[in-house]
Amino acid sequence: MPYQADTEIDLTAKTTSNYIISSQHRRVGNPNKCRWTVSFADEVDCFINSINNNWKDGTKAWGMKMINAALIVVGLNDDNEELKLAKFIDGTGKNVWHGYPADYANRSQDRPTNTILQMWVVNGYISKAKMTKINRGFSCNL
Amino acid sequence: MQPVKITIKGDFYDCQIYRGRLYLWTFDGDLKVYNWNELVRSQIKKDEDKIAMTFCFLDGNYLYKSSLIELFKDIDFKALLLQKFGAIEKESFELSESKLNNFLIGHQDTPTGILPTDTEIYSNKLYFIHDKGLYSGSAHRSKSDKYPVSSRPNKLWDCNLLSIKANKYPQLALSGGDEGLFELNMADNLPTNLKQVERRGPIFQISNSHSSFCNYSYLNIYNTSLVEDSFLAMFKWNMVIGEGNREKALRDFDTEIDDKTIFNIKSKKHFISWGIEDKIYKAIDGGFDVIKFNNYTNSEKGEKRFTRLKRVNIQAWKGKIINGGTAYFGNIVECENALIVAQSDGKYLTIPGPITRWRVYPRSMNYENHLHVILDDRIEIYSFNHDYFINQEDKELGIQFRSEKHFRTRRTSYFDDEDESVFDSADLPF
Repeated sequence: MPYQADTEIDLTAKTTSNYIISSQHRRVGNPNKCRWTVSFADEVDCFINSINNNWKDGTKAWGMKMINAALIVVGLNDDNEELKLAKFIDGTGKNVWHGYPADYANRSQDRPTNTILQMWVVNGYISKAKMTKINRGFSCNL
Repeated sequence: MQPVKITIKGDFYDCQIYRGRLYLWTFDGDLKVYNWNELVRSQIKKDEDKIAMTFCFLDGNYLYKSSLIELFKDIDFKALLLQKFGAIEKESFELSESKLNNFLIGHQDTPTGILPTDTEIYSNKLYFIHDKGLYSGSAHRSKSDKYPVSSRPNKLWDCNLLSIKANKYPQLALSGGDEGLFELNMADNLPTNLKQVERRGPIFQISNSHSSFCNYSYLNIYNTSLVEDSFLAMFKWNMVIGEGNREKALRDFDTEIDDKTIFNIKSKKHFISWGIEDKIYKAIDGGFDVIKFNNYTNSEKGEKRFTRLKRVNIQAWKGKIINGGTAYFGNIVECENALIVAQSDGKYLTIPGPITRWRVYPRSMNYENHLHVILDDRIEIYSFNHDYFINQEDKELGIQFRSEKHFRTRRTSYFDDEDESVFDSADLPF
């Protein structure tokens, strides 16, 4: 069954949390909202991957989408700049999450934690040099 | 003159050097502290290299003494000194991780267990930041202490900061990204016109404009933003009457001067600029411009606060400029693909990336001529020694050296036979 926006998706077969695709992060021209450019299925897969790999810090999590060992663009910011990381939030604390493309270079709250970045380096998703750039808010070619 | 380099193999993440100790954070979360003086001495293979190695790595301040400038005017003396440096430039100084262990003072988990985003050591304290906030803990502890750095640091603030930078006065500038620019002010007298944002400590908001990183320029702070306009936050001394009817000086905020005003730019296109002490720099396509900042302008004499000095070009393969810093020996420019040192003698050094981290220590007592560069599998510690022979007044790149070490500092040189314990007090200007 295809996913629908703004409807809780039961993911118990694949992970330990449920998810809502937020239409706010799908509309063009929504101010201060980054928007996804990947499919609903890819957005959900990105979330499942984040939770299953424990790329979490409390009620926040971060993720990415890889194809052929390369990070792909998952969305755009207000200035149509490409974004390759995603952020997920359990807004109500009830283990029902939603997410959006993370604009870490412009928004402090979108920067992955140092611990999660370190995990990504250990697993070969990003380099140590890219970790320090993301960490300090420098844009870099991921 | 080429810089002299010591290479240490290892998987490092951050570094600091302070009072004879080298602090290295490993990527897997250890903090290891080494006896830097012994490490350097171990690399001296010939007695005749001792003087040059000492100036290079243990006392970068000594040759700036004004009394030596007269000696440097003597051609023979200058040639001898250059020959000494030349002899060690050609040497290769490398240490493996196992050899490095010979100099280990102490080893611990990085405090709080999280790799730091940025660190500073000031007045025997380690300040560090990561996503959980700003912390401080004692550093340069006795060798008999279990850990060289406090394993239970104090949390000063929970803001997720991007960068911290200490001044030679007791302040730390804090870059908070879109939260703004702040300052931890540990002076006895606090500003009267800034908002205190943290009740646990004297942390004041300087601006709510975006701050990526910053540096001190005399009393002021040059704030760099990678997303908005950068600016110079100007401060001034405000004399007030204090207790006992005595005058006291308060460092109050004055005004902001944005970078478009400083560089006289009309275009709205964003550019990166950075500044420290007497120079401000602006990135352009293919290079950067240098502006001299005169903090002590006498407008009645027609003196200008900002004067354009020169333009420096960078080869295209190095990519666009993403970060900049300055030391006495020149400008350090981090591009997407390389780190460039534009030296004060007009020469350039390029260090190909990927660069994990780099540091310079212009506020230091002994390591002003160091550049530390962490690469994927090693740290390279460069020592630049050309700047002693440059006319500081006319210099266009690098901080102008002025011999005005703080009056509280009794010992001014590694060569002075002074008791090190005089620096164990908590009130140091470095």
